[in-house]
Amino acid sequence: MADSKPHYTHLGHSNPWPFVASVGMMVGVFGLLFTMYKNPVGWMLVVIGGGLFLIAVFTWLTTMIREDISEATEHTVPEFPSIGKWMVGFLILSEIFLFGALFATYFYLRNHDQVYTQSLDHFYAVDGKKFEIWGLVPILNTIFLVSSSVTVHFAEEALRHGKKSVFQILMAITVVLGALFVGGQVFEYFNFATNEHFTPQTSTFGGSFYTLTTLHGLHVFAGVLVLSSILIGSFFHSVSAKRHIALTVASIYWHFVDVIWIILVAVIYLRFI
Amino acid sequence: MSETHTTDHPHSSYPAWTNWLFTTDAKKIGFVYMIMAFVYFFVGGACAGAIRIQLATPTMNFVDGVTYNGLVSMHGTVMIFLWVMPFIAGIINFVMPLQIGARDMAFPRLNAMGLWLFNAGALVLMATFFLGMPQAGWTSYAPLSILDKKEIGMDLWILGIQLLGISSIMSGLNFIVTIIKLRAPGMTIFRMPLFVWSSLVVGWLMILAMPAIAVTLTEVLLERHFGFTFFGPAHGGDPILYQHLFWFFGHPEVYILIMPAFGIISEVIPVFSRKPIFGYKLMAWSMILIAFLSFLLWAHHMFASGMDPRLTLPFMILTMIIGVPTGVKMFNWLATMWKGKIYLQTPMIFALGFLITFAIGGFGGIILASIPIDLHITNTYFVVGHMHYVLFGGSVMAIFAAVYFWFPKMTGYRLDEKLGIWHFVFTFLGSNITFLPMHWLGMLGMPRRVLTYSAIYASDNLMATIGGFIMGLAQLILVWNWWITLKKKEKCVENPWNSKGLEWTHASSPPRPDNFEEIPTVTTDPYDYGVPAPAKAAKEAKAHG
Repeated sequence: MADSKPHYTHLGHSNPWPFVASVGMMVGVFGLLFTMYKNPVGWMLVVIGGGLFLIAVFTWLTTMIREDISEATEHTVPEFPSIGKWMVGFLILSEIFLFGALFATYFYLRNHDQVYTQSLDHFYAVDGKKFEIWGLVPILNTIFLVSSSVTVHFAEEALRHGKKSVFQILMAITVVLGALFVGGQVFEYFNFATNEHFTPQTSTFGGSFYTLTTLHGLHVFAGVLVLSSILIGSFFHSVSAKRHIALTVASIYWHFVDVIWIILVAVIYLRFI
Repeated sequence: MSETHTTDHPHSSYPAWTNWLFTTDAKKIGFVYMIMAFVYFFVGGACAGAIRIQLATPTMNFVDGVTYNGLVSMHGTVMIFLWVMPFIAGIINFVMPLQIGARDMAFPRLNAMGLWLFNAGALVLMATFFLGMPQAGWTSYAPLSILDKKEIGMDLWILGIQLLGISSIMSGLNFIVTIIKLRAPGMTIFRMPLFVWSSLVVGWLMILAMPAIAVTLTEVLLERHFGFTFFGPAHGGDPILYQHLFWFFGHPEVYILIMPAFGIISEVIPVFSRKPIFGYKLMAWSMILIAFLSFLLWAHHMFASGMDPRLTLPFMILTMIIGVPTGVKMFNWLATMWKGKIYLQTPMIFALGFLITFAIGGFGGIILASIPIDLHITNTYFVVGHMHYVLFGGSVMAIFAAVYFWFPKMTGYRLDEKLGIWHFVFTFLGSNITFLPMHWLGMLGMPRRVLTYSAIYASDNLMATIGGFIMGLAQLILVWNWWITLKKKEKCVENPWNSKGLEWTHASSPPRPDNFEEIPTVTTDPYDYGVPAPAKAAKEAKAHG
């Protein structure tokens, strides 16, 4: 139902950061273009654009946290949480379609390779031999990510009950587990590329594998950034037992990233389907 | 922004010239969107003009082949991504919060980011005019888009569309959350005006369709420059995969373009018929059904491309089924006018024009959906005629209706009626003279996207070119109308159409920065015309008219 009280936050404030972030993205895009055409200006533009973008987003977020601390009174607190939850819900829906398109690519290419070769082994082959990607690294990564989903849940519980130090410890564990996952993924790529000759260019399977896992890895990386900024912010009283929407939203998102990983393991690594 | 009384910081701390660049006010953001949309409308129109000059005679030498391909690609891209989509985003930003009784969007800063990302993407696309235009059409089918790896226009196109896609996802999320959370008290879900319904549905389409194009274009980029294989058959890829992914985005995309038109027409017709909309709930449900179905019929673009024959029939049937909810809307608009007191003012005239051209476009769609016919006329001018009837005769006609209808709301001045009618007459005649012969050309077998053609198609093509120039020049009447209206500065009454919409009854024209002095409480259904005194309302409307 519609809220009886409209939200008054930010109304009438000018804010330069969306503009600056967009300019940064445009400069970065031109930089990427020049890089692809081997023009040395490209890297500089990517750095300038990316830098502008990061500065803008960082300032934007810290302003938001500061506003939250200073003016989070009766105005914002009662409704902003549910706006945030709806937002992350629809964002996840959109992300499902993003991953869905990549999964569709994978299934389509696999089936079509079968048409030509009569065998799935060919699709998964590297250097003429069937290549198994399941191993120690994905097992460890699964353990890291699933347990981090548990710790972030209990961190939220702790915050709701006002146990701030428990919350901070659990959040730190979550962030470390997330970072370990990203590290594991980078190690896996490195291992595949150097020792197994399995690169994105190897085959259509290589392309699908690397795009799917990289997209997921970037989501984990973004999640780590968000969770650690909440953790850092908590030392400056940006969250409390009553005001924990940032954490709620981040933890919903984190669980989603975890679910996507489990699907990835089942479909790409273990090939249940 | 200094009039705002609701904030702790009434004065912006940034210099005055940044007012428009740094604004987070949905109305200002909407304005920038709409102004930029009209700028690109003329850019896209110039492309179309060049194409029509080239096609005026069978072997005209106006442009060379590379330029021609580029013009065709950029005409489609600009008109879809830089004209209709930003105009939609703009009008929703301006009108929707007013219609639901909200002070702003749910995420004003994200809204600003969406606006500037749109402008960034548009500039990247504009760069193709100087660095080389993309050759593969607005659909950029693989392998066309991956063959020439040194074609800079293709890369610019990909990167520009990526920025626009991110912008659209941001807007879509914002629309949905705003409508769900920020409605005024009493504005229940089935009391929302149909334009708000269309905004909600468009938001859904944007967040679900845009990811597909983001993935597809990323894959094209990876294949072009980083050695990945997705679409190139030489290394096990499949170009048909591109078509599946592209049309999974592309078909909902055309409903993104038409859905707000449905909303606009549903706003205009009840006001000028002085009657409540016929079958309100059915109108809302039919939009939802159309949006849902639009995700299930992408492969009707690919009957001739080759796919599993068992799949073609379901796609054909689903495509025809979408004609049912669309027909429901058509009949409900007609039934709304039935026995109404109809006022033929400019917005209503454009709405009537919409009904005619959109119906013809819809019939063309049903014809194309049928596989036996489609196999013969796919990729001919029939398709070009059909899609221009629904996009120009549908979306753009509705956009003009919206411009005339909400101009007094946005500026406080009313556009000149006489000039408005001339604008309509030449636009309507011109568009029909342009696009109707294209159907005949298609039936005769003239393929689309060709530079020269056989002499048997000459007369119809000349007719289309003449019509195109009538239609294009007619738009200058609109610009002239804006110019003299804004120069005269004759304030019109607050509610010149005597509409019962919240944006007219509870907000001033133009609205204050926070939209409402006090958030209204909604007690009635939308389009509450004729109750309790229909004659009185009609008389008032006449007095103002």
